[in-house]
Amino acid sequence: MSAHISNFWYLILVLFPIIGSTGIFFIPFKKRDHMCIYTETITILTSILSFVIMTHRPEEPRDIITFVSKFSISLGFDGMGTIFGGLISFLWPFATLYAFDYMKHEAGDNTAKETTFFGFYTMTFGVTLGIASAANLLTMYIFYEMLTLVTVPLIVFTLSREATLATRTYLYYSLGGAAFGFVTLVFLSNYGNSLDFVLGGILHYNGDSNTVEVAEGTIAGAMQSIPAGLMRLVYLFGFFGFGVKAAIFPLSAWLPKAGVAPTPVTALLHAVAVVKAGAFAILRITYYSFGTDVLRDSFAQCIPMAFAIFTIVYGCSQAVRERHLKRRLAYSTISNLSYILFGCLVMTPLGLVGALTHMLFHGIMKICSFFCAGIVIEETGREYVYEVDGLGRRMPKTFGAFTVSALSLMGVPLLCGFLSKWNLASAAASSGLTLAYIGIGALLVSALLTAIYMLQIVIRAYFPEKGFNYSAIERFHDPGWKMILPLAVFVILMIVFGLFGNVITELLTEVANGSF
Amino acid sequence: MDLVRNLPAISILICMFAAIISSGLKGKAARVLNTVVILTVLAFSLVSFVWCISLGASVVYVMGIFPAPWGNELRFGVLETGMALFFSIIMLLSIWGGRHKMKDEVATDKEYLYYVFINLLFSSLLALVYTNDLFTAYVFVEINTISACGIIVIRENGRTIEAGVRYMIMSLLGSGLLLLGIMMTYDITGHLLMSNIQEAVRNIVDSGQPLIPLVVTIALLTTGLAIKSALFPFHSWLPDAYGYSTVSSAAILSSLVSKGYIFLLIKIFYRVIGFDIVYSSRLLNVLFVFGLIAMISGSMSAIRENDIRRMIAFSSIAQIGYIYMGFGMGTKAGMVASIFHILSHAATKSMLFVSAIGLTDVSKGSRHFVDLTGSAHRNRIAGIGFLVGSLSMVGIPMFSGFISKLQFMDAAVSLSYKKMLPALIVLGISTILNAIYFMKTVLRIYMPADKLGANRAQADVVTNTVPAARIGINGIVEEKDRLVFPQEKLYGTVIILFVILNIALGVCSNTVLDWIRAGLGMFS
Repeated sequence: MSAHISNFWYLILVLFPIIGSTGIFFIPFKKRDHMCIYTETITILTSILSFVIMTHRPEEPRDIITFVSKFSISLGFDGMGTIFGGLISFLWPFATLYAFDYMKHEAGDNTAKETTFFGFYTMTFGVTLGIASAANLLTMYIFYEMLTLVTVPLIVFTLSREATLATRTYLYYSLGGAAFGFVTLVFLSNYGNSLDFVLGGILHYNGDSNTVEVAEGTIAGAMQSIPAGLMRLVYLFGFFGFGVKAAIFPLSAWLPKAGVAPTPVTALLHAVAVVKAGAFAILRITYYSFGTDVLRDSFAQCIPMAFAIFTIVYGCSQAVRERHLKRRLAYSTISNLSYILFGCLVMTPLGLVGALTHMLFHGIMKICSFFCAGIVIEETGREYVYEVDGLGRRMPKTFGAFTVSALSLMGVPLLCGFLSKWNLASAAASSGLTLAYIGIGALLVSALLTAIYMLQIVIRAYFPEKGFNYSAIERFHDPGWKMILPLAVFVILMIVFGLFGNVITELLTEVANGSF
Repeated sequence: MDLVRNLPAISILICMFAAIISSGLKGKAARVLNTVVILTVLAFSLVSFVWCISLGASVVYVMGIFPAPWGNELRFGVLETGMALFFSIIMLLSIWGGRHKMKDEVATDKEYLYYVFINLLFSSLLALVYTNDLFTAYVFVEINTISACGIIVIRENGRTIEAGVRYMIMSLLGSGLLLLGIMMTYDITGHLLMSNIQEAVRNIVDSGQPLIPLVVTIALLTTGLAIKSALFPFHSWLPDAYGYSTVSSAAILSSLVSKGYIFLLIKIFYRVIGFDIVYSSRLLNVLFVFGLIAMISGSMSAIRENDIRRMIAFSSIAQIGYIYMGFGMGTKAGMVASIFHILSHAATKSMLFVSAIGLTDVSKGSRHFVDLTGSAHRNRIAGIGFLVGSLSMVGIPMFSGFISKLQFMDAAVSLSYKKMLPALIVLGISTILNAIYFMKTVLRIYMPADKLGANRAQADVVTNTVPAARIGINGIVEEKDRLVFPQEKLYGTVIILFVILNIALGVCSNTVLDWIRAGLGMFS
């Protein structure tokens, strides 16, 4: 952490991909390759910029625009923002690279359609970085709404009836959820010091009288203090409001449906950027806005935790039932997102560590398995689990990567998935809550179910039934380097993090203690 | 600066005279005169608005030579002049936005009549905004009703005549109640000038006389104006009146006429009775409940609707519910939120009506959703207008609707629990409902028209019969030939101005809110 750079750079970081992406719409590229090079350049430059800013962070975030008196837009990375921002900055260039080959197939010869796709894809990068670098709740909320809107053209991409319905569902769920998240925002702005994210929260909780006292200098009607119970109710609004994007049961129906989108979208947005933005928002309001003091040991902890635990099991069991490859992975995402929420709801620094670990690692594991599924769909046109028979022999690299990610998702030791489950379980055990113990049970059940639904695919791919006719799949083979390179990187990362995960855990512990 | 004092009175008068002169003019001349009049009023209002801000107080202007309590007065501060300025802007944009449809919607030999009604309507709106006399207000309410009815029925088809008759019946009922209310006020207080009534009312309350007559009076005044501004359950006339009249009429009715009545109601609350007395009468709770029901039921009807114009009309019922809910909160913050929502809704709703007509025009005039598929590609600018309007209605940041939502929620937070929770939950649910019908429409208009169209587009590319530049975003050929706008440029400009106005309200809301607070301060 040497010389700090100006706050101004945050604005550039967010605006650069957004403005750059409009170039994709308006520059008349002669060849498709030129468009690809332009898009990839923008993405890589943004990622580099993002990493530079993260390592030379300006001390204090500063307001950029003041909206209505107490509301302002301000950007700045703190520890948790760095983690999320780092994750997406790392994944985005790889996903874009993968998309070049994938979309060639998906869009046919229609360059105009592809331009739309890459334009909005890159724009989403900027908006997601906005969420990661938001320094107060209002800024995060604004980028959160923008994220909903810029991803719409990506989901509706195929323009089929199914895609339209999926998009509608997505919009209703997301906008509706955000509306309830907004209630939380307004309450916090009235009863907290400011909307800024401060580890430990911005509320003055008085444990003796069980009330939240209004901070000095804020203008809140006639009441000087409100019952903590009301504040907890408001937390529930926020949890389930932002929980829509994190696909908590019963608000998860949009996610499997949104699987009709092209794989780069399902892989990056519906396994990482969008859904993690929901989990990220919940982590933010829990640890950085409300503060765990107000919420711990109350219904505001129990009810969401019960839902999270149920979702863990529900997602897995639905994944076992589902035959469609991408939808199965989507249900798996639902379950895994609730791991993060469960960690968050333990409401101790350890819980935050567990949640963040899983946020990082699940991002890598799930994007890898989605990419593999995407390759299968793109190369063979097969979309269902029972159609992958024997493909392991023909596409060894793809299914090699898929196997590693499957093992990691199950939580096999020496791979990174083990570490995040370990962190989550130990956080839950040390919290001493009855529900948290049930949660550990749910994690175990979920590991078993994950083994069933992931290994089923692996086994079918490598060991088809006796007398399987290999000549029928003779024509299928591994795709080009643009698709294999991301997989290789992810596999290496899963193994490296699995072996040397303590570095990550230490880093995240610093984040959770506010010292990073 | 004494000259500026006269501007509001002159504005009202030139509108009235323009109406009289128009009745002897041909269509085109009346149209030019109307534009000139609106632009003049706009300039006058701007000057008096700036003057009021610099003055920092409201101004009483005596009409004629008799002083109060016999004479007639105008009174204007920041809020009144600002509202007049805003009304002129919306009026101008609505008229311009519907101009190209005028020849389809109104018979050529009746065009001058349309402008007679518009001028009359505008003068009555200005009078409602400026007047300090309750009976003058009543007279102009009647003028307003008749001219509004005129711009509904001028289209001369069965639906509009039925709508006009319905509007007339409901509105006259409202006027009747209003008149009763005014009579009772006169009976109790012995005055018709707002400031004098307030003094007398204050005396009555302080002297401890029974308050029941006063409460009944407030109830009559409120109910009368609530019927006229289509608060649930008095909204049955609204969908047809907004849905089938000419596009300018729909925009004006939804964003100005109903808002004029609401503004009069605000004046009655603050300047005639005194807001604390209205609050203590508990009548506001009734408005609060009906506001909440309107928010839900209006949106539910809009979701069921298959006709884009009627859908927008039903959405107005919900939005008027928001405004009355803000009144019902009974706090200054709630009132500020309501007044901001008057501005925000007027700007957005007129934009939606004007954009919708652009979309239906390129869909063979059909207003049904199925036929509207892909219309935003056929008429880009209308599509953008509708998109921005919808986003604003749903409350996406950077648009005016977001600030309204923020203000309403902010006001709700400091209420008592009995009101806070219903308000917050209904606000949340109503956002979801808004999202459902507006986003459904937006998706629909941005879908390609049919698979056939897409294939044809691709076939064209192959044979190179169409230059590549004419392929739209989703591979749909922009069918410019189906755009039949004699004045396409004007229409485009209007939509762009609407978008700018909306974003300006959304981003510079701090200034606007300061003006509203200052204006409310000058009221009492």
